[in-house]
Amino acid sequence: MSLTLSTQNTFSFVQNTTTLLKNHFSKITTKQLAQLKKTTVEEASKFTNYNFREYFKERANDLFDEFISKNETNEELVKQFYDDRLSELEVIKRQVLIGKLYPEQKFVKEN
Amino acid sequence: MLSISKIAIKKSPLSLSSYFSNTKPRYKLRSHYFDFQATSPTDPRVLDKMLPYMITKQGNAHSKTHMHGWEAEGGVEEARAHVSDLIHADPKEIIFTSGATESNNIAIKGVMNFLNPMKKHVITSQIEHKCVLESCKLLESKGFDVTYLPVQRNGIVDLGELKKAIRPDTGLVSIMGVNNEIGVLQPLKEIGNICRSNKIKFHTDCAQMFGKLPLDVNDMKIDLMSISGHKIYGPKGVGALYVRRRPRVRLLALQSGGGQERGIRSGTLPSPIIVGLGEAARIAKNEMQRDNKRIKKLADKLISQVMEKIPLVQLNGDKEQRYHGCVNLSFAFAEGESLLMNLKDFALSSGSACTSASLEPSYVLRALGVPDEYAHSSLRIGLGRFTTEQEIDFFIETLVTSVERLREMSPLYDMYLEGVDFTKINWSHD
Repeated sequence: MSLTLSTQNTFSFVQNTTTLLKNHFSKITTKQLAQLKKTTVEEASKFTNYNFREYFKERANDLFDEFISKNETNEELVKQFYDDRLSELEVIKRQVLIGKLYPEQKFVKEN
Repeated sequence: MLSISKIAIKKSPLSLSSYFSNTKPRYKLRSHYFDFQATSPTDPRVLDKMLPYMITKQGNAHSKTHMHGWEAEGGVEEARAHVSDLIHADPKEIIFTSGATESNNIAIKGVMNFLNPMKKHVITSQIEHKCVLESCKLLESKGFDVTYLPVQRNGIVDLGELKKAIRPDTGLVSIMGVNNEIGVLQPLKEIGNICRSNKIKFHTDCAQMFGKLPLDVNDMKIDLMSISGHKIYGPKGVGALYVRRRPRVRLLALQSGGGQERGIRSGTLPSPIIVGLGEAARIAKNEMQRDNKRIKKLADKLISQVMEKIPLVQLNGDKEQRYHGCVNLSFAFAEGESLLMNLKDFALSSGSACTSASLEPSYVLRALGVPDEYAHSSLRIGLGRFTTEQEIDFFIETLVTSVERLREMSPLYDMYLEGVDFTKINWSHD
């Protein structure tokens, strides 16, 4: 595990989020939703706590799969869903970082 | 910038924490958490919402003259709205307290002290939380009468008994929503109707139910409700009390001070943890259905597989009318404390956290009429939002082997297998 708090990394933290926000004002495509899903699951996999890691991964997969399968045509609802998941992604990123600052032992089963 | 030596970086995370804190971890590995009725881990989303209020937005919510106070007040009012939204109440009806224990104390003592001397009788049940029972005991010492309603074998209050216990001078009925030891769900709507028709105030301790099962204070005619923050993945040290405004519930405050929270609970509001409670309530509203579906699936798997693999297992409390995340199982011929020691890879409880220090069987199980040998060997398994299927499988596997091993060592089990009738044995030597 490497805990890097260099300025370069904090910049890329912001940059990744702004890349995802780029197409915010045009129609949100299924491809973008899939990209956001992939990014969320990747970030959630970085949780040091076993329970949080598994929960947020499963939740991201469930929420995105359910929404994508609905084939929602209302653009407002799609945008609302995208915005909500984006703000949750930022929360996950911050909390992953905090978890790494206070490391604890692993759980029995994950060892 | 952190200046960490190269040697520290190459070592494991464990040594990095000891570099900062100089304290060695007490245990090598963490046990899997199965005690969600005692408390629950704070959801990362809740912590994220709380942190700004501990770092920059640190003002006193009652400071009316500057932005620091306005910011904190804004956070508190948003939290109030989230909490009230979950129970279909008005935000003005929510009073923030230090937890469900304080809420229960304010509700019971406050209402009865106000109604004294016109109303002198309180009705509660035998399976209430310790804080409710102790508050009632204190009222008894001050000259009030308290009826402790018995419960049926399945843990649910008998409505006929409740109707019979009502007197002209009954001021308050206090029945909890979901029991913390056995998980049974009481018929709140029916009890609310009985209380409303008799013009009696109805208080319910919903610490284990709030945010987990649907609640509607108007539909269930609830006048007072206790809420706990740390049971719904919020921070510890915060709770709330719902106090109905129409028709108005009047009570005498326990804590004197600056008149905050409608004069019912004076004291500076702990804005960071209140914001945490609000966020936990908001998340609970969105996730209730999904969490319940997952937890029911895990609980059903746990109960069915355990009962299939080992005989003489009893589920305490009603099978259907319950919160599925609280599973209380009794194993005949396997002592509870020894079973807990065999299951050291799991964080479990054999009774409620408040009574786990004593060796007596739980008063809740005794009220259900569970025989002593089953009461001593009961395990309370709590499932929650963060429990995984992998943990459940690991738990079932370890539980089955532990129970089988304990039964192998038990001479009473050998006698049972031989067909000995225990009721006919004279245990004492004359």
